[in-house]
Amino acid sequence: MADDHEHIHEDHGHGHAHAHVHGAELEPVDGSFVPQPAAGLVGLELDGELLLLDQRTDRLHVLDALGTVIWNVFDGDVTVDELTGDLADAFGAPAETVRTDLGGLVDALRAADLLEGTEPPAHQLVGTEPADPPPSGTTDPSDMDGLWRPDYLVNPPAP
Amino acid sequence: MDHLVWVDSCTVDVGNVRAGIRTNSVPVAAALARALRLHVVDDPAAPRNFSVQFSRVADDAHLLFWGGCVAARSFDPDRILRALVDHLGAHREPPPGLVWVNALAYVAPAGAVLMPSRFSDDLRIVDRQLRAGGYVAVDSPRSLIDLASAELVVPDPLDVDDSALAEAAAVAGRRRAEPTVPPGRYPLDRWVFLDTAGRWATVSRATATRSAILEILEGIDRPDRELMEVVAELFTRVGARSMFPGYTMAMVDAVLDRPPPQ
Repeated sequence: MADDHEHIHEDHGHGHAHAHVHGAELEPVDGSFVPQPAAGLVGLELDGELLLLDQRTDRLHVLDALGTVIWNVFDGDVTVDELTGDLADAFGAPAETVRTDLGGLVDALRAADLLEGTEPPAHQLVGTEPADPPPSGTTDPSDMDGLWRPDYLVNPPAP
Repeated sequence: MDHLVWVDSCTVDVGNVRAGIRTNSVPVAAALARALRLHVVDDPAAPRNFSVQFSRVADDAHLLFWGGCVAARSFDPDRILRALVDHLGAHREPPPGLVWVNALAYVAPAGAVLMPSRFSDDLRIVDRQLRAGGYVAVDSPRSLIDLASAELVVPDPLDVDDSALAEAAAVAGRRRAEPTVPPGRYPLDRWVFLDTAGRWATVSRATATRSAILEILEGIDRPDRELMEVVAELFTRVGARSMFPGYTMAMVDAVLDRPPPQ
């Protein structure tokens, strides 16, 4: 609950980050996914963290500082692959690591029903490989109590 | 506790709650019914939610049970009966602008502390240690909070017949008087939340705001931006901590704001 490193914190610890939304199986996103905040969310940024109220369900979620930075660029236009490049440059981290962790965050947010995805242009789908699963230990459903925390995002390497 | 011999006292109707009361003493049952007569209803089938157990053994504390949980433990029968009245009063509608939150309150000169109510049993057992540390329990299962002013509000007690209540208390042996928190407003100093991951830490304002809103039981229709802003503002003045009761005296350390042993 009280973890400055958490990315997303759901109210009932119910989530299966990569499993279900409203009972439907969710596939991990690929790089062409265009994340967009779901409708009906009210956000309040507090000391760099984002408190999100889902008015559809009255559920409250917390994104930590890095999750908030990433959330704020989910504009319904940029793809996961494009964001991967941006973040890899910004943090000086290997693109593959960033891609894996970002995919995990996006999956977690989708599982919490906080993200919608838009259809990417058809040409972006060609040759896009399915995302690798996040590293072992980061997709445990119990981790949805806010504990998904890729280390490189928490402690980005020095430039 | 159902193996004990209980005597039905009365059924009361307070707010939206109908509660049956029983005791382990015939004269106490009768005196309690008189004390609470303004709220008594004729409903013998109501569940016996509250049980007042006055000890007949000098070394055993008197107990107030709420269901199967210890709601108050004391060697002072007055306190047990006041706790009963305060538990019943906690089911009244909150006054406008105030909310009932799912937390147990302790008051010290530095201000009030809110603790996770799921550890009621553990907290009541360490009542003496907490008093020794300067913290007096508010004997209520929930706490009335003015979110805007960041204050704990201890409401005026339910309207009861004090003389009849004193008669009930006189039946039991009294070893010592124990303090209670008088009605009034007390600035909140800290709000302590359970961390199921076991961490004892400062809680960020966003997480504290979320956690606090989830503890609101009555006084709001549904969460909205205004509520989020009010609670977030509260945590600019009130410390937020997390704890987990992983050892015997964890509750004492959490209330007294001491770090857990390494």
